[in-house]
Amino acid sequence: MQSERLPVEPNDGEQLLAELRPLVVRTVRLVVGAGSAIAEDAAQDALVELDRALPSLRNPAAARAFAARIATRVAVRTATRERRFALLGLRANAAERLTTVQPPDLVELKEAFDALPPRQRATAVLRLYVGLSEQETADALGCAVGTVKRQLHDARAALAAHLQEGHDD
Amino acid sequence: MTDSQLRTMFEAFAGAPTPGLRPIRRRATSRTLVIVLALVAVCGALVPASRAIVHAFETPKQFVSDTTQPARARTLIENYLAQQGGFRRVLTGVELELTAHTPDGRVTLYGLRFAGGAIGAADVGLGRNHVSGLWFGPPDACPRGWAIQARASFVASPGHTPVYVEGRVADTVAALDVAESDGRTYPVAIGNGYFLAWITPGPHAAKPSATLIARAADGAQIGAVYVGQKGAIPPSVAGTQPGCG
Repeated sequence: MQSERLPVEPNDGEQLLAELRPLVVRTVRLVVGAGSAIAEDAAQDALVELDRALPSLRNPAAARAFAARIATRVAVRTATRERRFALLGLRANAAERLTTVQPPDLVELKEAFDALPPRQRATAVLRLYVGLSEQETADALGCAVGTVKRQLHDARAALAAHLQEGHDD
Repeated sequence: MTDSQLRTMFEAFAGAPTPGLRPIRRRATSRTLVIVLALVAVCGALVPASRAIVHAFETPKQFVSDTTQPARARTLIENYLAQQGGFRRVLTGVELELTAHTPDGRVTLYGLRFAGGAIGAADVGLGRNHVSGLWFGPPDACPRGWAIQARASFVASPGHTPVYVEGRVADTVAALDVAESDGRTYPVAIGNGYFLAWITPGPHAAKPSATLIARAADGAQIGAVYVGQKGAIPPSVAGTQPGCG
């Protein structure tokens, strides 16, 4: 009797997860706040949720939007919680920030961005970084397209005002 | 602010495609908040009880929610709170002072503090016949040198039920006796500067009267208050003001 050794290949789910990992990690990181250890934890949590949810994905073509939706949900949840804790004085996020070497104007823009409400951050990341359409972004956030437009408009306005205020000082 | 500036910032801060690893440590979550709130609630329930044990004043709200206190006492204070305002003084503190075993059963007396420095007391009977009551007034109703202040008296059914008298005793008072007109004497419950006396109806029921005699530690009489018919407290034998002795 001849035995045959089958090659071990990653299954489709693992391969898809590997492909989606950068998108999920970076989306969560940007929404929660790049440079914070909490964002890295949230990214791990999002990957775990994606791994569990992938079997329910019916249309492989919609995988990016599917992953972005899960990443956004985890990120907004985490960011909202952290914002609440910060308001209660239960967090010292500044101590957890990792040092980054970036041009001052980008650092200033990032700090202004991190001060936006979590859903505005998520809208901006999904639209401008992930590249989802307005409809896909609305689906990911569970809101109307009009809300996406308004959130993005408000985010731009708030950032502009924040930066203008900083320059006036 | 342009989208291109935002995209540049996103690209700059998006970081590695895999999450960074760091030492695992516990951090506060929503569950932590729930646990902390539960602990606070438990402490809130325990603190009023511990205050009752060490005879510390509770706020009226704490007292009303303090399940270690008798329901009748809490209801009495709750009813007062519902009616306070107008001529009624604002109650600020309640403290268990003494418990006495009377002919009508167990009666507890609570010291009361009011806004503006007034004091008072509430007696709450746990027996069937005792009528609960409450009084308040200035902290010192008697001239300097008083040993006993009879501040309130009441009787549910004159000639049939005991006459109750309550008030303050000075620190120098070690014991308080009731001396009835027929010669009977018996001790009065005192505690934390308060007293609760009762004069039982006897053969002289038509005109029950007695004298509350305050004694020092050596047994010497240092004050006395006469309690007349139906609990009336006329000018005392020792002073010019009613109830002072």
